[in-house]
Amino acid sequence: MVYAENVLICIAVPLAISLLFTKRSTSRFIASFLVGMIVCLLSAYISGYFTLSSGYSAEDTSIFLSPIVEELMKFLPVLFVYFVFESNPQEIQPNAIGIGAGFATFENCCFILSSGAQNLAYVLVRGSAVGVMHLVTMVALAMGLRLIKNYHLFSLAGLLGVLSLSMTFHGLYNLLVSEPGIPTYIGYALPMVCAVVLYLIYHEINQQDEEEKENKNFVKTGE
Amino acid sequence: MSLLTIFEFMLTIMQVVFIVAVIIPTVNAMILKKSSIISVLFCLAMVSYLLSDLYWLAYDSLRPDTRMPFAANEFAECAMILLLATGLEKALPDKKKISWEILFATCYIGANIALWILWSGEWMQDTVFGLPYIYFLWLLVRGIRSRNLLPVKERAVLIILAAVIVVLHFMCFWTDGMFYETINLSITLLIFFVSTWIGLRSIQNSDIFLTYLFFLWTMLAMFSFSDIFYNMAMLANTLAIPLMYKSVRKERASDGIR
Repeated sequence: MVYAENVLICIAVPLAISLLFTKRSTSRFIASFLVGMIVCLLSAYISGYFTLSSGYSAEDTSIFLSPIVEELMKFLPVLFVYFVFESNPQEIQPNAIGIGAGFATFENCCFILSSGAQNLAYVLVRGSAVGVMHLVTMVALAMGLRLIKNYHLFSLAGLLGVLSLSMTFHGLYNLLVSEPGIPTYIGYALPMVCAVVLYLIYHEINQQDEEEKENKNFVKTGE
Repeated sequence: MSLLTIFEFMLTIMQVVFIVAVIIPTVNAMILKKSSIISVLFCLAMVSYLLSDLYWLAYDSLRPDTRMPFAANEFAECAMILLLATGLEKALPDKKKISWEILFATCYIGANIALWILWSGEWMQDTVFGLPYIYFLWLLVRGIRSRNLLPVKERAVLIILAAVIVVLHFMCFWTDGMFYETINLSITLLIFFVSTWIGLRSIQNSDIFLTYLFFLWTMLAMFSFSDIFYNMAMLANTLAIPLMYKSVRKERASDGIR
């Protein structure tokens, strides 16, 4: 048995104290990281409740219900940041990444405590698959929010669309890794592949933005 | 894995290819900032649909011929409909809200939801994921009327045929034997007749409202069938994807929405 609350306190206290000595952008990331860990714990509670109340097996809950609960729980703090602090879309990205990283870290901690960390290869795979998966869904979510904000489409449909994308991606990953053999390997590779694709798109969009800024500056200087 | 599942598997792979083929140029246009709001939403909707298909493929190959306890991919389909609807909202020239159109969309999709519940027994899932279809159909009806895409008589015939199909579906629950078989055959013929009709209209006039209607109709047809007719409806649904892409491009070229 893992005392998840105790693990959370143990990791969270130094991070919470570090908030006192860090500047704004760093402290935002650390705070998001902390929120991510808390969200992970809450998601585990909710998923546990659904396992008991729905009558699904633990495996079915992890494949079909956990992705929905976890992605929704990660999405809520991002929405909170967006609406309460009225952050611009670029500022959401570090928050979303912090939440994803915190979530993945805490989940991995609990997993390693419960099943052991003797096998380095397995721990590495776990870190680069589940860890990256939580990051990828959050980066995609933040990019989606940025996109719909850029086009002035911050509607319920847009939000649900972006959220459901991350839910389905997470569900697909969980489904693939639930079966041993080739599907598991595909599942493990999926987050990394998506991370690379997202990086390329992100890089391209940023480059275009930079070029646009340069062009605007050039026009201004010309005037 | 049954032969039919293998066939369905191949059709889904074909659909994935079609979806990827329309996503790539749309993403390229987005990166080059040459895309409109509607094409961005179309792209997001197609990514949702792609994920839904990939989920099905993974599920069908890992757990063949078993029913999902909870269809996680329905989230993706629901999002796809909402995203397409948001695009239509932007393209709608006339914002007039006529009560019979709301009533028609609600009654028609409401009746379909009732059928889905009767078929699957998943009342919660079918109700929640069915609601976006009401909004989507309402926008389509408004768009077709305000853009005058179909003559009034043709619209009336389509509405009557759609209503007849739903009534026949309900009749299937209280009939059996030869009568049941006849009704079932009539439903199949009517659904594919309407599919062909809307499909041809979409090809003739590749307007966003018509192609999206074709897509919606083929989706409803897929939900109505199992076995080989499901696969035929899926084929029509796949064909609707490039038609939608063409209409989205046309929309971008013809108006100033950016």
